[in-house]
Amino acid sequence: MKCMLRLYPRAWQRRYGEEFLELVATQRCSLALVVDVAAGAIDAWISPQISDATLASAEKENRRTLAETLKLECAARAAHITPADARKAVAVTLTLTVVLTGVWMWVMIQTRGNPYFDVMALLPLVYTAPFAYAMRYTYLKTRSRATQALFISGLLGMVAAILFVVGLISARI
Amino acid sequence: MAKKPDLSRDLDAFGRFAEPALLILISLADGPKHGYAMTEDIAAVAGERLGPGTLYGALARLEARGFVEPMKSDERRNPYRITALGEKALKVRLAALEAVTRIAHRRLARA
Repeated sequence: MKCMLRLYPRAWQRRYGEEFLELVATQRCSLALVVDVAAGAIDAWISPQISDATLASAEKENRRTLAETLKLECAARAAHITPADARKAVAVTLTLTVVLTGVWMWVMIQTRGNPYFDVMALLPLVYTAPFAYAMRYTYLKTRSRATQALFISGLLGMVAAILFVVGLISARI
Repeated sequence: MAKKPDLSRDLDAFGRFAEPALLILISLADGPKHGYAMTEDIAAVAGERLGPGTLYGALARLEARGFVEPMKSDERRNPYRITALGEKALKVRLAALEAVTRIAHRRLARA
């Protein structure tokens, strides 16, 4: 009998489908029941009682519930960042930035303006890398070491690739 | 001035669902019920067991006109209750039926 529900319009199924099937399940299968359900389906198509507006207002509440559920789900999955984590992330970002800036300056002196290492190419990486690495203590805190490594190296790899293309173009101009 | 809706005519507009709709309103006048409870109650009161197609056809019409409304439920089946408008429509309908019944009895008595 469940398949007979498909005879009804979609909107009708959404509105009454579940409770209708509950009721059908309590009835003894008979020709009279099949005829009644089929006649009901024909009627539902010929004179639909459920307007889109009615259905929309009925579903509005469900959507609100769904939105709240998603919000809670996201909150549950998000890393809980404590003030100590934030301090650690800031310290790591600043320290790495200072260290990498020093490394960049040394490379610049050694290469004497090679376009692959100049301000436009390598410097952005110097500021991106500490920030990406510090995510280990914030957004990536709850993830495994493998995931952290993959995310950070992937992000820096993409930035490096973009910078390499920029350096390549600079060298040609 | 806005014309008052003729509640006694509203159930007539239900066509073949007019009688099932009346039985549903009578059933819900006793308190909220879900589909199965309604069919059982109607079978006990009127000796007529409504099929699911007929019951929900009538219920959809009653709900569309604001005569009944679903109640919140955690279960799959929704209980329905009669609204103030539904009660008014039921009273009007029963009064009309009573008037017809009185006339019928009077005529039978004369025969």
